[in-house]
Amino acid sequence: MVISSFMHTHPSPHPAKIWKRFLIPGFMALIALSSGSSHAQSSDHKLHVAVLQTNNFVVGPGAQPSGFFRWEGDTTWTHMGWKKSRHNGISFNPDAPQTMFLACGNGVFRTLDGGKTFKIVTSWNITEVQDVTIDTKSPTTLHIATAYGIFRSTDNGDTWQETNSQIPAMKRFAQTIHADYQKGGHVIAGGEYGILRTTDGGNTWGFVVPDLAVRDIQQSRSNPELWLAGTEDKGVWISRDSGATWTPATGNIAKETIYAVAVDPQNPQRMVAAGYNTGVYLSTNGGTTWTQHKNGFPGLNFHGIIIDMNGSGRIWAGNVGHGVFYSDNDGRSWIYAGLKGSEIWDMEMIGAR
Amino acid sequence: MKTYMITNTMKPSLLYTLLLATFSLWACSPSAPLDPYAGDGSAYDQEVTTRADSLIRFYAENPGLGQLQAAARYHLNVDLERANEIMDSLAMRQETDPSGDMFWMYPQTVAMFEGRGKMPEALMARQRNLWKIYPPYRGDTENHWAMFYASMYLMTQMYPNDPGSEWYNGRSSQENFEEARDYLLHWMDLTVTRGQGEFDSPGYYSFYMAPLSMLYGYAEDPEMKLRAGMMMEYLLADFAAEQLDGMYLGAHSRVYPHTVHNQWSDNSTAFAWLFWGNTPSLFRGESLITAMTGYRPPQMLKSIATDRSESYVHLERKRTRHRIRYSDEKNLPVYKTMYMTPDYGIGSMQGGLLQPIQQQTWDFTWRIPDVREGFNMIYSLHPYSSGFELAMYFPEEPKLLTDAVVKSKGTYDSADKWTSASPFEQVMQHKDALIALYDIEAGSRFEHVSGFFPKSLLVREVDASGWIFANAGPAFLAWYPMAPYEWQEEEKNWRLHSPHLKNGAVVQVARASDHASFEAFKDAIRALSITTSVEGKPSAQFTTLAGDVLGFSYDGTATVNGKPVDYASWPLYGGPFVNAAVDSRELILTYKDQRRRLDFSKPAVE
Repeated sequence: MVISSFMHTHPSPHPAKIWKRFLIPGFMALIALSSGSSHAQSSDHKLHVAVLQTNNFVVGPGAQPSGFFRWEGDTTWTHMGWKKSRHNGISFNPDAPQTMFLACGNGVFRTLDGGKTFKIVTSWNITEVQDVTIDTKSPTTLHIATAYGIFRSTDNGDTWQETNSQIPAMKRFAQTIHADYQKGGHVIAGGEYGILRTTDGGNTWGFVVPDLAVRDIQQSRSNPELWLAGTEDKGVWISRDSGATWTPATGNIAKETIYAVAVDPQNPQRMVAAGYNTGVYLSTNGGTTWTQHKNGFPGLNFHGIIIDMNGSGRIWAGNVGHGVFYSDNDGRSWIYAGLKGSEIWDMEMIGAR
Repeated sequence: MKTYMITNTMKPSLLYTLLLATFSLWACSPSAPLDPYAGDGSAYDQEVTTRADSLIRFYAENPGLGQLQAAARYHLNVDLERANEIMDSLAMRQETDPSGDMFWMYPQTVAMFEGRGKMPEALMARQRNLWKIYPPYRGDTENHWAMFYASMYLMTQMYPNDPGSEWYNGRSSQENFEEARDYLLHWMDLTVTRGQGEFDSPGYYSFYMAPLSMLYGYAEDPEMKLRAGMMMEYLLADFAAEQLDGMYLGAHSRVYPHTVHNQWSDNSTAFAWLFWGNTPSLFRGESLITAMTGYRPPQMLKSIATDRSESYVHLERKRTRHRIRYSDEKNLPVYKTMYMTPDYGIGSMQGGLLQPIQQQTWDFTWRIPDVREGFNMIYSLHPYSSGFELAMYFPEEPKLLTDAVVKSKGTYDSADKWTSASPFEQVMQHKDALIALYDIEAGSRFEHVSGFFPKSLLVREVDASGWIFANAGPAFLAWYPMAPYEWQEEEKNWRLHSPHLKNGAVVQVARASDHASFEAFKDAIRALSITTSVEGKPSAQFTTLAGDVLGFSYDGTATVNGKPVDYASWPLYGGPFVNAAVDSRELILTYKDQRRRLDFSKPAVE
């Protein structure tokens, strides 16, 4: 199904310095489209987003389609899979990008055909799945973060085992999880009670930072030793040794609640972060200082952020309640990219390794 | 003594679906065990049948466009053309604009079971196809899962051999069936060992009775059928001991603003009417489902529900729903007390964040001539809202949760709401007396305590002694406020509004018939010893009308006559009628010389 949002325009061959006017219920905004980049993606990697909720309703007749979407350019998106399952996280196999996993309220969804068909591969005892990651060194191994702890599958999702028994039972709330791109068996997770790390594929987990509510963890592709964490009320935390040790970023971001972080895949000095009432933060010096961008958004809560894989430096930001925006000029202006009314919960650039 | 049970040899294997035919033959054989809920032709059975038939007819003659209107027609085998039209129209809507999740699933399941052999084959196939193309969300509450998995259990029973490609979730019939059965058995076991997490909810009660009724009515596995029937009896017994004229009294995990002041109008009442006839008729789709199964609970439940000749204390232990953050325990125990008399009931639980959003911690309700009028209760609460409360139970971001909840539960963040859990509320109850203490953190939403007093009271007066007296007709109340307050007039009630963080109320209630007059009651109350303090931790010591000395301080120990209240040995059920020990997997019903035991470990009814 193709969903075209209220402002469906075709990719412009001359997008520079175009003013685009668009309407979101309750307000009007003018956005400067000031970059020279194309509306269409030039990379093999395509932006996918997980939409947690649309149109205010969680369950029942009032709920509208949410779920898993692929950006097709402008404000047009292709919806894949199920329409209402509270999608929290996305992961895919870079060796076989047709294989994707979604972390959802109902469990883990798996597609082996690029989103044409899905299967729920977990049973009733795995629920409220917050995030999923694939060990790219062993792509049939998956780890998931759930409200009830961390689980692992070693057979591409067919069967699952809980793997955080070393963690006290009421300290297991896990919200984000990320497998190291380069070090097989190294996985870092974040939850309500700190940053967890395993170096043996999940056999043993331990807190490397306790007493820290962690909302997102991401790894730099251009410097795999570099990791970022978004936290509740304590801003961004940075690790430069593959997650073994972490230090908080200082300055204006230090007390923010950050739901999403990302590092430019081409430039490890360039980082973005966004969260509760923050707009979008950008650092161009490896997290030493951060510049906040709040103009041009209908709302300032963001739960997804990512920097394009195509080398343009484009920043994609997923708003809570107002869809997707992007900036091609380091956040000085933002282009609305559709999914009106949606809570964007996760963003991923999916494509071959 | 009759015993109804399933022997080991009757238990289904994983190849259950292949043995359905065998079971069917077996079930018809002379040696099949009797269904303890099949009805016995007694006068009571006939009485229930009369009410059930009127309920079914009501839906069968109802012009509404709903699955259950069609199901009732199929059930009675009347007006099948209209039933088919309804199902055709609803299928078209679901194909083009699907919605409803488990609230679509369970009536859809009922309509398909009732419509088997009556619905045209093509229409039935179209209904079947909806389970392939529409992906319902499983939800995040206990009632959601009960409806979801009962529906999946039965639909995969109906279509036992379909591959994953024929089901919306990609799982085969067998995978879905086993998952559903495992969950349902897990939920039943958790309920009969530690209680429900979404307990005693007048609104959601029906959303447990409906899926259990479906399993009782349509499950082909005799063990599942028996277990479902026993669980229905379990929930009915729970309700019977705590209801008065159909009203579900006392503390509730969840109750909606539109029914908290008219308990009769809530869904649970429909089952009181159906099985006990002790309240004006109230029709609900979920009770229709129960009616169509022919389920008959034991008559002694009607006796328990309607015999209010003697006052009694009834205790229950429940649990919180699963806590995922900010707690040392996943399921905190909930300690409930109900004191039921011929004229009123007063019930409570210990307070705290026991269930998010819609909790009612205590309630005093009295009988009124026309129970449908409502507004016959008094209680207090601390209206509270926070991301902290919600994040304890929901996985989303704490700072986003309040706004998210308000979208569907509009009163959650309202200062004047009438249902609420609060981390700053603690309650103790001993029979007809109750102490509610509040120690509200500064800066909380909200910084006041509310008390509900309906305008229907015959008398509401403030005494020079500091007591507030209320004459409700058959029952009296005395309320000692521990902090200054003002009265705020609302449409049908007065609000006791006390904007003080350290607060509380000492409550004594009584049957009017136990006193020569309202004046005599007031004199008796004035003579009682009472000491309260809001310095430091709020505390109160009070000698009740019965002479018991209650002592309670916030975060302290509750005592009765100097002895701490023994929460450690609180039963799952304890009282004259319903008893069960924690983890016992049994329920014992007693009424006069009758005794009945439900053994969920086998399962068996004795």
